[in-house]
Amino acid sequence: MVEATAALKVQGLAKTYGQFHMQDVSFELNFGRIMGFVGRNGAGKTTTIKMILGIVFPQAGSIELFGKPYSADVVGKIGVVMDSPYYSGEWKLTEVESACKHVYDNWDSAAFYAHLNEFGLDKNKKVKELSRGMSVKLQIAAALSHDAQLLIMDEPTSGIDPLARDDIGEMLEDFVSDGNHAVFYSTHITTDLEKTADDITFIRDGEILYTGTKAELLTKYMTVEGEAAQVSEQLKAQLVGWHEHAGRFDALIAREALDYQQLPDSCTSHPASLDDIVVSFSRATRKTTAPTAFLAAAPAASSATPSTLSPEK
Amino acid sequence: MKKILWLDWMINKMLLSWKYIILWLVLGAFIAVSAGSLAGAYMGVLVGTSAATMPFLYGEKTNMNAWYVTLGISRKDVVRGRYISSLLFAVVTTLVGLFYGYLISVGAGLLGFGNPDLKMIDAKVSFFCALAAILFAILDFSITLPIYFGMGYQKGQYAAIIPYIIICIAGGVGMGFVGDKGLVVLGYIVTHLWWIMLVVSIIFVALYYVSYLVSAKLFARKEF
Repeated sequence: MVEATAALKVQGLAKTYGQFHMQDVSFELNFGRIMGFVGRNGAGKTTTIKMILGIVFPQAGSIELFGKPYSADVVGKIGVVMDSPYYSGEWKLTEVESACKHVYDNWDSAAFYAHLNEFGLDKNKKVKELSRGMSVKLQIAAALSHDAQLLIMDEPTSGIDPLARDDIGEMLEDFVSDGNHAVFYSTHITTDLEKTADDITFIRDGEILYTGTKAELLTKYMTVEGEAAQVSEQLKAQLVGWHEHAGRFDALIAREALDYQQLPDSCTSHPASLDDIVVSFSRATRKTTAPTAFLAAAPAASSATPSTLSPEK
Repeated sequence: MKKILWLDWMINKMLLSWKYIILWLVLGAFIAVSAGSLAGAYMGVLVGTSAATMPFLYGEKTNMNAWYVTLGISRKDVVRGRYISSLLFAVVTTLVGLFYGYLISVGAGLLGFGNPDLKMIDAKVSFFCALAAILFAILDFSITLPIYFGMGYQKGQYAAIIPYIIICIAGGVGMGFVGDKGLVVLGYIVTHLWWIMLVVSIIFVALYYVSYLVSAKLFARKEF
């Protein structure tokens, strides 16, 4: 087991691209954990990952990898899986191996070919001939073959069939099972996170709304649905991500609010899924959601002490 | 640094496919027969200077530049490595081109396609020919590499032509002014070739270093 330092610690990252602003992006990932980084398209997931990897420069904030500031030595311990591989499309997988062998310090050729075999990838195929799922598996094979301690993945399961997604999920669980590794991956497919993630960091419009354990997040909210006309203004003020269609509504409500809030007879509530939470909060905007719908902000997150969604201003 | 040299080699290695080799052999043979054996050196340097753009092309096409960062290769090392690999590649292709030009010229002569062109047997001529070709490559890289590092391949490939247009125009205008005096200058160069080439080499190497500094500055804050 490694020492109790975080595999990844991000503090106060900020970046501006034209009209898009990211600010105060902070979260922490410990060894032995899988953190899902979730948000809709354009929320800032890829930009955050690029800042962690040094591909893009943050305008504020700090990044620590394995308890140390970003450096070339530290970055070498990271396995990277992006939405498309960086390798030349003209390279055969044997040439990918040859390239990787000379650039990774702890490269294991036998492990790479074993993973290719396991994933059903033909080593004589060219990178450009691989399907999306295959190219992700190729990157995972490479990432697992140089003794990486931290896997950082950007939308690895997007556009992949459910069986392949399941395989990847199992692989990630195996990767962290010894407690010496960690996985950080961004996705907008919440069902994958429900199965594999231990921690969740939720980003919306460049701001972190939640970072903490998945279990804690799922206990915080309930989904409410029923006749829209029967909902009082007082109740509406407690709801997040109000969605109305054909006279019926669905929305999210904090579990604590249900303790003192009476629901109309036509309304039902059930535990919210991760998808419900992400969708509802993605719908909610500063203009339409009143402050009382959110819980008060908790201290900065770690995997052991989860934080809450940040309140609307 | 070794990492970037290896990766650039892996990219340029794609130029060694059979279709490219056949293309160069045929083109090189045509040039050697029509323009003389020494022209092979210039064919070689053209291959070398073209190959220097390949890592920039793939750096953008597959975002390999980002991969370099994730491998812990600093942006400064990318620049440094590329200046070294470009020059190495140009030197090798120049020498190969020179030798190939000789082989073709002699072979063509023996097969009856005119007289064998034996200029390359003269070591001094061959040396200056190769040196001139390599100096041309150094000048080319000194101009184009900062453009590619600063603007990227997509925009840079068009911008890189502009300096040559300026040089051609300036050269043409200059020749008009120099007139007959040009022959005197040329005569002086030929009689003081060693010194001239030494001074020009030093200047070009210094220019290459300045170009490297400019590229390093331009690439330092590049985001991918």
